[in-house]
Amino acid sequence: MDSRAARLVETATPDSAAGPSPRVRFGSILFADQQAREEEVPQPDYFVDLSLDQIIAGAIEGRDHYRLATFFHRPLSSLEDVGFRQAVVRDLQREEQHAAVSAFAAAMEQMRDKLAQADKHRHHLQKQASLIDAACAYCDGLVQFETDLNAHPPQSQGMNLWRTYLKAYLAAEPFQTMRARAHDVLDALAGVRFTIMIRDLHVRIDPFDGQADYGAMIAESYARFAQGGEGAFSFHAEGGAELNYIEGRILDEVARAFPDPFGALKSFVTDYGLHFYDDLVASFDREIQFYMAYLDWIAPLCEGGLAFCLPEVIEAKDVHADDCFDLSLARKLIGSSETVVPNSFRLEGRERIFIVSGPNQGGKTTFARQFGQLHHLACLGLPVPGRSARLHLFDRIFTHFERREIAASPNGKLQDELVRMHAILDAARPESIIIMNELFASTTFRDARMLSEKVTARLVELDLLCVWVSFIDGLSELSDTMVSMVSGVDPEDPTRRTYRVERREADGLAYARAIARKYGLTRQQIEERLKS
Amino acid sequence: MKTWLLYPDRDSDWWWASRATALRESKRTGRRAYDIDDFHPDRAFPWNADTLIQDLGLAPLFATIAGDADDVFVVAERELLTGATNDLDTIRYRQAMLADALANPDTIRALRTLAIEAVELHRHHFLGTLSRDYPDTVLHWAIDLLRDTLGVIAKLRSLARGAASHFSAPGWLRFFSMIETDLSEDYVTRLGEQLSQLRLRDGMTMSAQLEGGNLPGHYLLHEPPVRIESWWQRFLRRWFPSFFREEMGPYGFSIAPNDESGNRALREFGNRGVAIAAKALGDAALHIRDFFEMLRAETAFYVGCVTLHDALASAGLATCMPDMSRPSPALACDGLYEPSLGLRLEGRVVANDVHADGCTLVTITGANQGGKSMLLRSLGVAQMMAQCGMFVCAGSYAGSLCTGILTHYKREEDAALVSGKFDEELARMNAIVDHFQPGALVLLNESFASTSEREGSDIADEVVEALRAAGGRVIFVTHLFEYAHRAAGRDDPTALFLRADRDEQGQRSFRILVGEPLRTSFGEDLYRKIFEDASETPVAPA
Repeated sequence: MDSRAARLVETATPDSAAGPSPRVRFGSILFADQQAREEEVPQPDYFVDLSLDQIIAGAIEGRDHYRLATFFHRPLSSLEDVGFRQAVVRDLQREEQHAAVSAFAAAMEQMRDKLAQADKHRHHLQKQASLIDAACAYCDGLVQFETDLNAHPPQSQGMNLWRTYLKAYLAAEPFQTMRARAHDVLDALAGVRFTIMIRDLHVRIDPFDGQADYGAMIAESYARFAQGGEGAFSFHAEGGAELNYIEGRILDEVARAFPDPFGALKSFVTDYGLHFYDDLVASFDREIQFYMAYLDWIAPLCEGGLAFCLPEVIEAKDVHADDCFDLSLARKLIGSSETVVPNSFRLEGRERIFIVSGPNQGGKTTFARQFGQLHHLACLGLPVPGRSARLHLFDRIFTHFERREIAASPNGKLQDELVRMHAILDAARPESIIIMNELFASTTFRDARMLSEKVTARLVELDLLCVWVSFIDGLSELSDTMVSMVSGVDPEDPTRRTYRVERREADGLAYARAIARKYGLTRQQIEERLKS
Repeated sequence: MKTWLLYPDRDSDWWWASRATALRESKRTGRRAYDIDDFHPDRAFPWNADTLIQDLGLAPLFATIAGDADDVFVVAERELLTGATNDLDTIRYRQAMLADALANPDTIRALRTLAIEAVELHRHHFLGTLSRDYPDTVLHWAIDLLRDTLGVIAKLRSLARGAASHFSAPGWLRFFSMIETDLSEDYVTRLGEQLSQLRLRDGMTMSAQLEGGNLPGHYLLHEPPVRIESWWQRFLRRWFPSFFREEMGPYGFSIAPNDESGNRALREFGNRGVAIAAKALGDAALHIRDFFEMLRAETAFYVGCVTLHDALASAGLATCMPDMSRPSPALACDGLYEPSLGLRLEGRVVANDVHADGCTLVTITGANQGGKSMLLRSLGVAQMMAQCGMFVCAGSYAGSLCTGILTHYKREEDAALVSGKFDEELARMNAIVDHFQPGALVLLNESFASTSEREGSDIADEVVEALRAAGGRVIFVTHLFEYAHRAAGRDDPTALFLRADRDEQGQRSFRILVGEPLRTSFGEDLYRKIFEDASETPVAPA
């Protein structure tokens, strides 16, 4: 089927000038070179630290059979691919396109369900019927999809390639024949109505002869008493989707009494079998879910008023983002009274490194996490949280977060940290991103400062992007490539965190003073209180 | 088929009445009731139902009306408490119905008895919860039950035929003629024949069509095949089936008699058809019960009225049908008394005349134990009875409708509340304001008395004037002289001041007359007397 369809596409003439060159043949909706990637990619090391594992698990929940995780594990390495995907996203963000793809996916889902049913059924006539249902769902779904795409033509190269392919495939004779035959069989079967007379142990089947509905007649006899209440009785018949012994025998007799529709059914099944669908269609169905899963997952956040944007992805390092937020946290807060606090960041000129300080539980780790999330999502070609963003096309992300299990290691925590740090600095290249959270917390302040300075020198030398959550004051003064970010508190009530991380010099003392004032322990207050 | 005995154009909430009756009966007798687990009778009542019952002392009235009859109790309680929602047409409709009922008490009671008989058939033909899932059990239950019900219907028809000429209210005439047409003899005979056919003795015919996946679906039942044969042919066929070769068509099959699982499967399959008949007939049985539940709930109201009327009449107490058509605010009554007190005192009750047409404020002041609270209560009860379409306990009564009755009484028992008495009092007043609607009747009994007289008077004045300005009518029994004096000093033609007086000998007459508030309580008098105060201006009437 695949090769037959392919041949047809190559001879087909493209209909729109906006469409891509006819020589490019659709192969994948995920990669600009139209080569689908088949190999599985394991989850990157930084996923857990950045909560990306939760984000991806949430996004693909309920879509297990598409095996989407691997797509999310592979950030793109070329700007061309990013642009290709962003264009597809723009298409899918339009309501009509999204609805069209959803309807198509539902049809394919129905087809798979029916095929699975065909496998499960015991009675051969039921197997055959499920197969014809599957074929109809497939054919109708595709035809509807093409109609929808014609009504709302896509803009992206990827979707246009797909549309061209689909058009040719549907117009070809094999598909047309299959669809017509499937529908003819289904229509003929739907017209079969028969009577069953049971008397003692004998069952007699006849074509239906227009007998009156006796149940309705009884109900009608007593209708005048009805006082608007619902009927209280309902009996659920035995069996369900599977025919029992008697029903099976009845169906056999019905097939004998109506030889034409059942003959047509049999020959359809013989001619087409289980694999009547096109492999590229199936592959598109899977790949497009990469976008759909993510877009559907962020939809409730968009409705809740949070902004998402398609970022500008650059090879340079002057990155910025406005009003971005931690996606995993935002998703968790859905339905609660709390809302996520958006933050912004910006690096200009030679600036490369964010040093984040401030009170605990003030949003420092969240800030570091979201910086990583944003970059990973941007390099998947997906929309990122925030009103606008310009993000770096990285080659790798390294994270260094405190790990509880390492605390128990025989080597001591500091040593483990240094080993990991060393490995990271060895592997990192200028295109990499490093995210570090509370490094060297286990040693003395003096040691920590010294080690931090050494690491800083390496980082500056590497000229890479870095977020460093640190408790060490004044670290940002070591180099002009470093930017200090401070997590804030409410000036009125210092025990309340704003979860806002702002660019300013570290000023740990102001916070301490505010707390003191709240408890009446400033010098002036103490004097006042002691006066009386 | 609609009974429509309570409203000219719609059903009453008979379903509520049947559930509430079952619930009350189950509580009273300990007998188990079904389908009442999720039933909350409160939904039919106004928000302040409990307060009204307590403040207006309604419990003895309900008891007199109902006796042991739970259905009468719940319907009378509901109608009295929700009377404010009735419009003038409904009230007139019921007054006419009630007049007929008072003239034909036996017929009304017999109607209710028949309704109960039909409803009670469901106790005799009991269908357990578990049996409800078995179509053939349900089918035979419904056939037996419906056969008996047809007997009750026949009795109802003959009762209606005999009684119709004695009634004149349009509601009753409509009801009796409906029975005559909708439950005709022909119709009932036809139902009986259908029931025989539904035993499905000679097999059944169904039809089906292929639905998704070649699964037969959309089953219909068709008229069952009937063999014309005599009892001995039937007997022979039963015991010697091999002599009777079944005529089979070109398509079909037979199950061997010794194929047990095949037999069972065929029976289960046949149950699809039985289920169709069982559902239709089972629902029909419940629908007929609903009809009789409705008849029971609506006749119960009139039976309760008749009972109360009988009790009052035998105590020598007068009643009258009120004229509720006066433009609001109107209230003019003579010989008004409180029914429960009247019955307790066996008729020797003091009756009052109140003429408060055009008044939005009636203030009642005067001596303790002088009958002020009882007057307030009798005014509330009369308004309630009148608005549900009953007679009232007065010699004559003409008034206007109110949109709701709100009561605010001093609560002695709340003294120990942590939140403070005055706080609690204002909280209840807050709730009243929450639920206030223009046209409401607000009965205040010694409100705002849990603070100093000055503060209480200030607040009382503001609240009362605000409620009046918002379109309410206020009847206020109060000891707050400051307030009453201030209100009386305004020369307000829409305010009436009544006073409970003592006669010359200081005896309480319990009669309340028009009069401005007096700066006195007799306690002060007493104080002065004992302490021999030398004041030259005695304030109490000598």
